[in-house]
Amino acid sequence: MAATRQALSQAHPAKTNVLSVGLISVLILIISLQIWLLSASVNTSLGGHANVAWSAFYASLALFLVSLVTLSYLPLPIRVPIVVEREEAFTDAALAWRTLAISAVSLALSFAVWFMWSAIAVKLNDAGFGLTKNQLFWLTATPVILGSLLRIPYGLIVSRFGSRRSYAAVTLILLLPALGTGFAVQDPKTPYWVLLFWSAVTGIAGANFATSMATVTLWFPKQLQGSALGINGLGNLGVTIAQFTIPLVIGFSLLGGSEASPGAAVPSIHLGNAGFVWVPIILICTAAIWFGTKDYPAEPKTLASQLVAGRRLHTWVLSTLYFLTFGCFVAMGASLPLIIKEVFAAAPGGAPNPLLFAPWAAAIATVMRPLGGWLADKFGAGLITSISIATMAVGGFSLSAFLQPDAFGQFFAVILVICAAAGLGNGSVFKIIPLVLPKEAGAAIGIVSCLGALGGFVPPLLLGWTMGRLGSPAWAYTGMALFAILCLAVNGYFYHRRNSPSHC
Amino acid sequence: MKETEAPLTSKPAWAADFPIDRVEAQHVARREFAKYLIVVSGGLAAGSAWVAVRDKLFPHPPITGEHLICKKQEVPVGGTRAFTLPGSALPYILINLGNEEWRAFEQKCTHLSCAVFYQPHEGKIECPCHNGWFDARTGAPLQGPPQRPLPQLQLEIRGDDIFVVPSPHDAHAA
Repeated sequence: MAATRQALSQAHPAKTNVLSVGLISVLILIISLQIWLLSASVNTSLGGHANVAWSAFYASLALFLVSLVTLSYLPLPIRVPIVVEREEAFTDAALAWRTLAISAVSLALSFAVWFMWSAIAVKLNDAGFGLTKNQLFWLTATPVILGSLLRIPYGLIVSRFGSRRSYAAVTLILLLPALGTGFAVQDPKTPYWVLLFWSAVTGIAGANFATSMATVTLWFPKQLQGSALGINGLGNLGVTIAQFTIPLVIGFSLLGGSEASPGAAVPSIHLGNAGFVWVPIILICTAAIWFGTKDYPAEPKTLASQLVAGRRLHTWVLSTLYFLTFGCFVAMGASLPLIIKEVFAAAPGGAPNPLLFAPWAAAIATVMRPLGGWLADKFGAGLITSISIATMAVGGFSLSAFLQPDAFGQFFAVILVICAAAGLGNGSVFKIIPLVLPKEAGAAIGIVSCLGALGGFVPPLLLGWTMGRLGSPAWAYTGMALFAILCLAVNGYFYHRRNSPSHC
Repeated sequence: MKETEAPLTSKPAWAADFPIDRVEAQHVARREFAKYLIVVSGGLAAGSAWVAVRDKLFPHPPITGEHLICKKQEVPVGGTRAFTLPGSALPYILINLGNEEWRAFEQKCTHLSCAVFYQPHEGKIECPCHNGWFDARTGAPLQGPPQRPLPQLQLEIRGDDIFVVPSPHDAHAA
């Protein structure tokens, strides 16, 4: 395609004009087909056969995509000089990759600690606590909210105090929630406010994401940052690790002294282990960061110079994009139980079990993240972000077609496609941050990841509201698709458009 | 020294008035036209999207409950009676086909929503606007511009009373 454009830009206008006429004929053909499809779908949908309308829409969309491709073959308006991008030097590769490996593992640990309360909460009442559903909800929600908000200061400190010291410190203080939670949940007589206090302290673990990302971004050159940040993002798998490890370790006694006597009627649960199990890993990770990495050799920046990030338009644009891509896959998993209850309860063969399906949404998004970063390095972050958001828009829109009890398979397949696209988008959006805000990257990462994490909270509420008020979840999915189209336009304007000053 | 006049410009006057070559002007115009066509194509795709999702966003409320229209004696054989259902402004007609056969259709032609009338001699329903004809038993289009059948209501006759009842098709869809 690039070769075609290059040839076109050097051809005489008389020649390219003939080509334009050819393209215009193709476009007119495409539009005629689309008009035919539209009239056919209007006719059949008025007659009560909505399925034809969906097929007609996909056909029309495919034709539109073909017409978008012809845009690339249009003769250029001016003779654009071809710019060759110079690759940045990558001097300290070994140290950089080592930093990345240590950082990703420590991040997985942080995520595991962050989500330990959601694993503990389901067992609390089995261990002798008498808590209401509402109290349990707040025990799991408090760390998420606090962790998201704390990401802003946690992103700031890296360029002020150095990456090694900041990251080692924030990892070491994870001991506080791990030990505190461990001792608090051991005793069923612990009052609720103490539990809530320790769940709030656990929130600091979620903020490590910003410190970790800001550390990794320092060490890698531009052309590798997407891959590096994407690989670091694999630390999200810590959530899955916590979900599998904690139910295992609370089954036996780690610290000897057990309060439940053997042979008692109550099955012995050592809830404290859910906190204690992380202590040795925290110590190992802190040591690895302290001895295995270095402070990035750069002048420490003042906090004031970092806070400028809040005044940059790019910070907020990127926050919007990340709000969509990150919030979306969290919401897809979180809202699955609600949707299954409302729509698929009458599915043939019984309602599907949400606990069986929800974790896949998060898993596929996490795994796709490094791929998104790598593709962004290779083909441009703007392009990959556009593709991922467009897929999310079409997917979110298509979900409405499968809101029937007998279509759960297709519905869930579309959810997985959306989550995979969201994962790609997470990787490529994060590559854009250090590219357009090289000086305030740490602070910007803090703000963007804070809003993204809070983004997971809004869509499930919206979904519940639309179902209660407007009678159909189709409204929420269509709204999501429209928001995605808005983001597509914003991304196109700032990062994908060839002539944009921040094209990347 | 005699003052020299400014040298004549090498370009003729028309070139100052029309400084852009024809081919270059065409180049711009065709590019713009092609882009415009792409926007139209996107608009048509969006229109198709709207048609597809419209039924999901605004589902048709099915007819609920039973509604008395009138007594049998009030409509002679070959006669009709217009009525509406509570909570809706849609006009319907009740038709007495004879032989104890009764039908109720929406009174809007499926072409351009003109009012339709029963022609007892033909046994058909006529739309006078564009000479469209429907089968009075099934509502199927027979002739003229309409492509879709007239929407039909489910009737139930109990003694002398004629009722509209929820149709089994609607119950399945809901």
